[in-house]
Amino acid sequence: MSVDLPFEDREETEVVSAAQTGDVDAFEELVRRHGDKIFRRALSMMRDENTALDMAQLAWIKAWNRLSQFHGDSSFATWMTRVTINLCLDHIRKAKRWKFAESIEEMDENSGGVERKLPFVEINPTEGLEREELKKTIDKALAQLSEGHRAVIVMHTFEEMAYKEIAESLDCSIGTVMSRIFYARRNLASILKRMLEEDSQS
Amino acid sequence: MNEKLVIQIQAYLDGELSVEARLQLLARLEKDPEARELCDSLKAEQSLLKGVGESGHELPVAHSYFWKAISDEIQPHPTSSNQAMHKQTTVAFQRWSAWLVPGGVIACIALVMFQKGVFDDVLDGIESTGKKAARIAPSFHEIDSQQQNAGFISFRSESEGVSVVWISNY
Repeated sequence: MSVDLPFEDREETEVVSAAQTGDVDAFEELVRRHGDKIFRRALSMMRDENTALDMAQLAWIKAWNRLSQFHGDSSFATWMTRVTINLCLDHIRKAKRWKFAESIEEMDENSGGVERKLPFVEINPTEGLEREELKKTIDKALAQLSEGHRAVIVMHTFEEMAYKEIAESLDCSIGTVMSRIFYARRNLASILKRMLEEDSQS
Repeated sequence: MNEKLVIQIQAYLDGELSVEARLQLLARLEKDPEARELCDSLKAEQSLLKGVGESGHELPVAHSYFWKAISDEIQPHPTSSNQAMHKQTTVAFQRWSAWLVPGGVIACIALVMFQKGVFDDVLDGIESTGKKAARIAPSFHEIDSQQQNAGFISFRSESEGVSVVWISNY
């Protein structure tokens, strides 16, 4: 029977169920399985390794206390990632390091005119080495974005969260989310273009 | 190009437009080459980000270290009331031990002296066996007193309705 198997050999749903009954060993198995991903998400939001480590640990502690709220509507990893993102957003808000712009005009002040065309960057995903280099370049470019822009890029592009869900997390309107995503992407594209041009020159 | 159109194109690419709005936008893109160019640029940028993905950062510390910090927080700890009770017990024991230790020492000395016959001289000073018995149990009266070599002394208290027999070792 699967009950006799160690947690590392059990299905995720079984491990989650055991953790929900208070089994600490089951919860540790979940941390073992998703620890890297959660840290990666915290790092993409915070951009500082030590802070990301703290946020990841806090996210797991928070998740333990709220395990009863997980009903299996999404995968555990997705739910856990949402917990982490919201925790990071709370941390950023409390630190008052940025605030959400409520109007597209406000966003535009920091980003330049909407009319400016987005740089066009072509990639060939089949070229492994080039792709890895691009990955690092994108990572560096993300680091140069403001926290607000980075948050929406992470939530929308990498976590594939819908506008509505992002709006709920950010406590703002869907219109704000739409404009923020646009300017965040455009800024990222500008940074990427500059970085790629610099690389090609060197 | 107005802001509303730009945002609409993005929402279209993100699959967030309603059917009606999507049809309207597609009609617009047919007629507007500039809007179409922007749409293509946005689409390429989305492909870039989603296609390449994120860097594969991993936990910079060992799992055991990472887990310990979590475990310390989620494992049950002694409650504050338990801790307070434990502290009170410790204080009470320390207070009693201040008396118990010297008291115990005195009791040990007395026991050793008694076993070595130190008190025999005191008891020898009492002349009669009856007096000795009276000293031991003054409220009792002797009802059957034998000589010391007989090996026992018995007492009877009528008022208490109790008899006591003292058996001597010698």
